[in-house]
Amino acid sequence: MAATRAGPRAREIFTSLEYGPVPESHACALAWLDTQDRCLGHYVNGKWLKPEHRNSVPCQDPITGENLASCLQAQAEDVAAAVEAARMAFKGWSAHPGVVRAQHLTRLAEVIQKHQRLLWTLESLVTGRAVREVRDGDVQLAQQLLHYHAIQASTQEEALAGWEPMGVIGLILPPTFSFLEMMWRICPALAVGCTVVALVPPASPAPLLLAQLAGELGPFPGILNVLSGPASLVPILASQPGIRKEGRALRRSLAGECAELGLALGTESLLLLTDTADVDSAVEGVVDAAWSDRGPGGLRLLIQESVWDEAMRRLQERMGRLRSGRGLDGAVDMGARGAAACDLVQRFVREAQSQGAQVFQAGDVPSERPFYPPTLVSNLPPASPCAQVEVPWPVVVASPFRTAKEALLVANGTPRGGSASVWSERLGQALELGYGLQVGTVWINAHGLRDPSVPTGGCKESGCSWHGGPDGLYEYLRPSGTPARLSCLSKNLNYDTFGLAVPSTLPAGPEIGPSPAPPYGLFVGGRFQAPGARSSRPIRDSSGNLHGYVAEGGAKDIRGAVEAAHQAFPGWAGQSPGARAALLWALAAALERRKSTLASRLERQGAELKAAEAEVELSARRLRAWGARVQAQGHTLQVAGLRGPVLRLREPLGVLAVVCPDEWPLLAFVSLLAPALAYGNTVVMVPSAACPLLALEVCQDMATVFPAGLANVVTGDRDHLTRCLALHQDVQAMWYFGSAQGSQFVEWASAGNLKPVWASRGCPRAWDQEAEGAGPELGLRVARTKALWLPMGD
Amino acid sequence: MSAHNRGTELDLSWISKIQVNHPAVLRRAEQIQARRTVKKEWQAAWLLKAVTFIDLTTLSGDDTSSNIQRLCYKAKYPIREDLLKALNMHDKGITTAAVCVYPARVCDAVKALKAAGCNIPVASVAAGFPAGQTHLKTRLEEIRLAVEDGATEIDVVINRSLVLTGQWEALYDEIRQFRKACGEAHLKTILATGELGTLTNVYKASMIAMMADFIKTSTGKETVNATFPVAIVMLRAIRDFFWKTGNKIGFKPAGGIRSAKDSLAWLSLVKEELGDEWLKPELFRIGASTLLSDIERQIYHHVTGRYAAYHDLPMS
Repeated sequence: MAATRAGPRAREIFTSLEYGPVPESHACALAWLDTQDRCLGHYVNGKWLKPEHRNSVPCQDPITGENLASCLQAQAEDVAAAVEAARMAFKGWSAHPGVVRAQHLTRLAEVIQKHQRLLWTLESLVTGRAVREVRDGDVQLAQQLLHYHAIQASTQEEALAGWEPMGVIGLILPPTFSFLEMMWRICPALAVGCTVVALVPPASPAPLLLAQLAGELGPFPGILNVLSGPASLVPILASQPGIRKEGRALRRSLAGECAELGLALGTESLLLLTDTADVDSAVEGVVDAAWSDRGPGGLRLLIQESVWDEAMRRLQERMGRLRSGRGLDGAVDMGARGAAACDLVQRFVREAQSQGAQVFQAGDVPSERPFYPPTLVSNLPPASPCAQVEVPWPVVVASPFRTAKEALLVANGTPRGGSASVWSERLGQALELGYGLQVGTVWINAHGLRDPSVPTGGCKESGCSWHGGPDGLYEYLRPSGTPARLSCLSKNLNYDTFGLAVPSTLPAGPEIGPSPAPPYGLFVGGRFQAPGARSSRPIRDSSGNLHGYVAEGGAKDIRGAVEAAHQAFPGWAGQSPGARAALLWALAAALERRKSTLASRLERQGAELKAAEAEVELSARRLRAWGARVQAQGHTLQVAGLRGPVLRLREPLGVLAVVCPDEWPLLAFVSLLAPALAYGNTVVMVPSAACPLLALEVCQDMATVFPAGLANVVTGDRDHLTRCLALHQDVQAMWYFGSAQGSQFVEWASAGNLKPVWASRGCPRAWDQEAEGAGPELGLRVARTKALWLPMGD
Repeated sequence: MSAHNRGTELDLSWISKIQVNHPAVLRRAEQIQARRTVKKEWQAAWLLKAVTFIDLTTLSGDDTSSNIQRLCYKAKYPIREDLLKALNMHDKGITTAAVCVYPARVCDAVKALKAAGCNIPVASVAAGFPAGQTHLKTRLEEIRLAVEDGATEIDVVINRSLVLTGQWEALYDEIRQFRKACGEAHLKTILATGELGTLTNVYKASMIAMMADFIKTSTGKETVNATFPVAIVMLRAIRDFFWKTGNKIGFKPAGGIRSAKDSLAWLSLVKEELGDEWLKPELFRIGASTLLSDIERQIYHHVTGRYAAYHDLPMS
């Protein structure tokens, strides 16, 4: 017999049956770092960029504190170089047919497959996350993402005709996000023909490795450029011309810049456990969500009161079996996330305790920093400051609810709207909750499933950008022929005073024929009301004569209009698309009956009679078209590895504020009103400032056709009303068609509740053209997506 | 085995509200195999522990006294002595937990084990094994005869038709009668989970059977035998029963467990779902026939660093 290799401990282990270390060798990760002489720069244009005279940050093993490498910090000129490289690469990359891009993405997936061990050990070594999750989850999903988007790229010419890539994408990754989050964003961007400059937090080598793998593939070196640098570089990247950005807290600083902005924020998730649930499986859902190194953040857990005791007992029992340790150990549930995450959770738990919460901790966890045990917080008073903030990793905050209705109220009562799971064995209840939750993703009896073909995103303050699925592609596309967005930043725009005061208007004499007097008042809650300010503004026709007086709306009127819209919203959103279409068709018929009045008003504004009549007819057609189009929204997705469907729902945004352009006083108004209502939103509209009378004419018909509050029209000073709407926290989205300055203000102000904004920045639209007046872009912007996962099995 | 489970009164409220979500349990079953693993000394020690849980089984039509005798010697000496010495485990008295045979072979097994000079218990399948489709009277008689022949553990199959038609009281009564027929012998109730239709039925049948004694997944003769999803449901039922009554009920997966790696996964499954106190032969058994030789092969590799040839290890 050969020499024995057995250690001395078998006897003890035979008795104790304890787990031992299962170390994953990270030799290849260290060897890769050695190829860089333990000094990581940036990867730009297919080459390592290691400029001299830069600060460097140590890249440490978060658990041992061992120095692994030093990482150079980018400076402004490095950013400029990367953007230039991406811009050069964009010309070639976007000009190639989709099939070529598809082949390139597929090759990248194959390269990742070949070097996956390097990728997963490096990621786990540096982030401290459990290697199992990186190996079996992230790396596999990264390859699936590339394959999925390769297919999308190959069919781009047919499936996405009429859209073009946006250009260079600036991607800013916050420190809590893994390389997988980067993949979710760069895959669709690259697939549709964009090129990427990613700014990753200091000391995160996995994105650099990915960039190297992509760069070494050959023909397109500059399509993926990765810089590592501090958060202070964000504005510098953002101010580079021609870039679209992703990332957090840019809304304010980017207002008025040329950038399009997509935000994906927030890490907290939600789990609803009802009394008909399989409680043990739901407990596993909690483990998946918070204690398995899958999600980046903590979990808010809502438990139905009747199963509270049972659920808590099982949860605590389960927590006792969780293991935490070095991320590179193959048998741990949780690794560690470094000192910053540890400080954050310590502060949170201390504060919760001081506010009277009960804290339960368990599990086999090393006692030293930066390890932190799985933590269950309960009895946190809802009014305490702690209950409002985002729950950090690895904390679960449990609170009870009594009925499904109450669960929805509590769950929707936070500003976050990322993802949630519902645990219930009653199909009806599960769907009721799934449809009612205001989040981007709902899993029924599962948690944390992801697939490249299913759009993932959020709503409310979790941001409004999407990745994955068809929705993810549109994030990086714009309608073909859109003029390049020029920076319209006005440095001297004073946000504090923009539109604050209304210039006073004086009587301008009596109204002069030939058309009859227009309706007077603000159209709020289904009827014409006198304005709060009790004053009016004169409207002149094209020859300068007084055409009529309209009411001067103000802040109070906006408040009233938003309230009325909110009251009408649940009823309207609950209507079937067919019922909504019927009302839009009724309005179209009413417009046609009023054709002569409308045309004569348009004529007084300077339109030819023929053109005026055409505008009225086209407006009626738009109403009918949107009514018909909305019937075919949403569809079912089929996901590999999941038995059962994933529903892609298109849900209304809520109360939508629309500031209409000056031109096309009737057509633009109707073109914006029709999709908004068709998709179930209720609206507050500010009609054309030059000629609001046409909109008021339409209101006369809406008063008879629509339920009260569906569409509210407030006339008055455009800047002032814009200010009131943009600063309103309970307006869910805002469209602004007007001056560059107004656009800048709207973008700045929307940071308050991070409402999605669509601002024209002073560019006129051809409302009579199908593409710009009724194109798919409106359909995308007018509703938000929700993915509802329905696993099946018995 | 420890003291008998004296049983509990039938309480149907324990199973009336139960919900088992099939896809969620399947996901958990996949995870549990990926999340826990042991290496090196830990693997060797765990494998030796697994040996002590094995009900070394032969249930073939062509069993005769000679291969029963071989089986019994293998039960007594499951791992080559020199390998145990190398691990310093030769004085731990490692044997399998029991040998498991058909009723007609019980006498042979008892005799062989006596000759080998050990007190490894003999388990006998009974009660119309494997289908259970015989008259209750003959099933009970079969149990009594096996016990008379010297079997100290009886593995009975339940009447699946009672589960599929929801006759829980009748099922409970039958198992109580089996229990009584066993006398002092231990009873393991085989649920034949592959034929129960749903995981919810598995949970309910587990609960009812535990009101009697030890529960076991399958006969090894169904098309689907011991699987992780089924085991998860049964283990959760065992834990619920323990929380309700304070009685610890044993668990025995059987059928299809062939590799050493599988056996480690089963150990960690029980450790994760129930805890260390269930990891002893009184509360956990693995019904297997070929598993032992794979474990021995792994131990050989651990000790020598080489993979064993077929002839390096004695056959069972």
